[in-house]
Amino acid sequence: MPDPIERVINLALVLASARKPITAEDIRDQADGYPAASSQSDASFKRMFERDKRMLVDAGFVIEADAEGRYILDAEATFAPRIHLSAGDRILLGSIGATLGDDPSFPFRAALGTALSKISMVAEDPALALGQQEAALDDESAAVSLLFDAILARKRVSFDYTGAKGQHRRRNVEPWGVYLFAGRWYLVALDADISARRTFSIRLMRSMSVNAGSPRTPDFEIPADFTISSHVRLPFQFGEEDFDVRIAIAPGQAWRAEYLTAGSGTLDVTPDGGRLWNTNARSRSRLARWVIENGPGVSIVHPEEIGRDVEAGLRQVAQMHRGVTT
Amino acid sequence: MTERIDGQQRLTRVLSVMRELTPNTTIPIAELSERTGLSPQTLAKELTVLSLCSGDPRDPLSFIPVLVDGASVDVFGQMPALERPIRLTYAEVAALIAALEIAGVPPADPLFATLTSASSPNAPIEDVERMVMASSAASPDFAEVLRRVSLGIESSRVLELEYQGAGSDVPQKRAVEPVGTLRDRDTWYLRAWCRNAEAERTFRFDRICDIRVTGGLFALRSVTPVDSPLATEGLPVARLRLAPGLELAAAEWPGLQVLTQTADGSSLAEVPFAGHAWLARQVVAHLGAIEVLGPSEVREAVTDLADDLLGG
Repeated sequence: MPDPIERVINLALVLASARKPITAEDIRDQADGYPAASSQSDASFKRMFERDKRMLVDAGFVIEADAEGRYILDAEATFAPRIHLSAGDRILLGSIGATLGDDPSFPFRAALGTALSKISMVAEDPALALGQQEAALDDESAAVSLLFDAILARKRVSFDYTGAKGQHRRRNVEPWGVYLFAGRWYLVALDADISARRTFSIRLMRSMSVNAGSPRTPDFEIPADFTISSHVRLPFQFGEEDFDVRIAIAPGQAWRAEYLTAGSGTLDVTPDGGRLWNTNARSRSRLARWVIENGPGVSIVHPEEIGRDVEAGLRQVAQMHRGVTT
Repeated sequence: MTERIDGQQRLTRVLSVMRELTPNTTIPIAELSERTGLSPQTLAKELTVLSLCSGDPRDPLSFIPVLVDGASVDVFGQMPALERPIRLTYAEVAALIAALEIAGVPPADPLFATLTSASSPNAPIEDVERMVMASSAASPDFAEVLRRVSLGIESSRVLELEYQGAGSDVPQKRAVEPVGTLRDRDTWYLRAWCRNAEAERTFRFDRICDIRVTGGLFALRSVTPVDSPLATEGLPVARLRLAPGLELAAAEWPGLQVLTQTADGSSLAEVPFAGHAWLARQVVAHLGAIEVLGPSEVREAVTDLADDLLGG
């Protein structure tokens, strides 16, 4: 029995070489791998043909059907055009491919490999490649990969999760988007049990499963006004509190300001060349930790009491570590 | 372990192998393996499948002209069709966008538009951008640092860095011979031979204040392969006491081992460390919830950092 993938490639070749629209019957006759009409019912053939056609569409083939139900490949929409990459862009892409190819925490490694392979073929100066891809994805990235597939297919997902208040339960969600922040991936989803939008840390998910029923039928639609960028939050912007915060970045550290603030809030230049950052926070302890981790030259101006709490904590640390151990 | 992939992934794989087959050439399997990231065994299997495919089995010229011959593959004619790559799919556009964002390339950079011009009409970029975002290295200078590092590696040119180490308030000038780049836990690193230290060093991208590609060329040195800049093997170990209930994330404390719990609920733990400065900052950031029990020089580093932050 021929390899099923052979039949799908044959279908692609038939469609790609057809100069005019062809019927499914022509395809059955021409593409090797489809049983003859005498040994397979029309309904079975139709199911097999639709399944194969779907695979080609998912791989990027644009297959049109005319009013008479004949098929033709839209070559312009299917095949990639030539593109021009500057030498600098080619070197940059080469570096990105080599680095992420070896990185088990990059969830989209396989798709990046095929993307770079295609770009190599249509760019004037090829030789782009992904790294060796030898290491398996780590657990968090494998989960991101699975979730992204679920987002694309609009399939519901369930997983065990312990929330910020310590409540543990199985979550049934409609996954809408994923984002990476400070080395962690997060999922923004509609928690179907409470009909509320929630952000989940993907590394804390356990026993994840994607609804396998009717894989070609979406379980939900993502709202038209949804954008993942409006959900990106800094570590101290998770929690139960909610307050405004003003953080000073010293002139010598101003070059890091945009990286540190990640587009959150507003950033003003101070007369001495430093930066004053206004944003919001939801956890005092995480804010204090973040400021120290990202120092030197980063300090809390407002609320003043958090600045004072940090000072008290620092005095405790210094006292604890002076002399012999406690 | 047997590799398990579904039919869709297999189709993508076979099509990607097909793209690498230059007409009328003989290609070593090992070279093809390097270009595709597939093992020679997998390649041989997929090439055999391709050799059986045709647009019309009654026409010998419509077969894909490949023949696996031992350690090489003979492409003995022109491809019957599908000679051009398929446009980028939704997943591929998402992967490219995520990769460019992770590398700090801003969405306004023309490279975004150039690459996504090859995307399928079924994968509109604005739709992908609604659902995935990976721009944690959001500094507008980040991509420029990566561009210059990449150029230094590609052209074997010495780089001049202004680098601010974790334990230093003032950036230091370094002349380095770049070897490669690494990414670990969402942080990019430059591996290089540091001419100032006369030793191999790893530099965090986010601590490079300025970088210049000089005209100076260097000969490649033999350097130790590094899988992770945060590898902990062979490093000294610090002993810690953790406050009751405090749990530290393994990703932020590589190699941490919690040993035992004491009567008051606190835990004793050990963590490997490469430099006092990193460990001291981690400990101080927990504002008293972690005490370093030893070695004494780490305790001193913690005290010094806390005093510094207090302006003392």
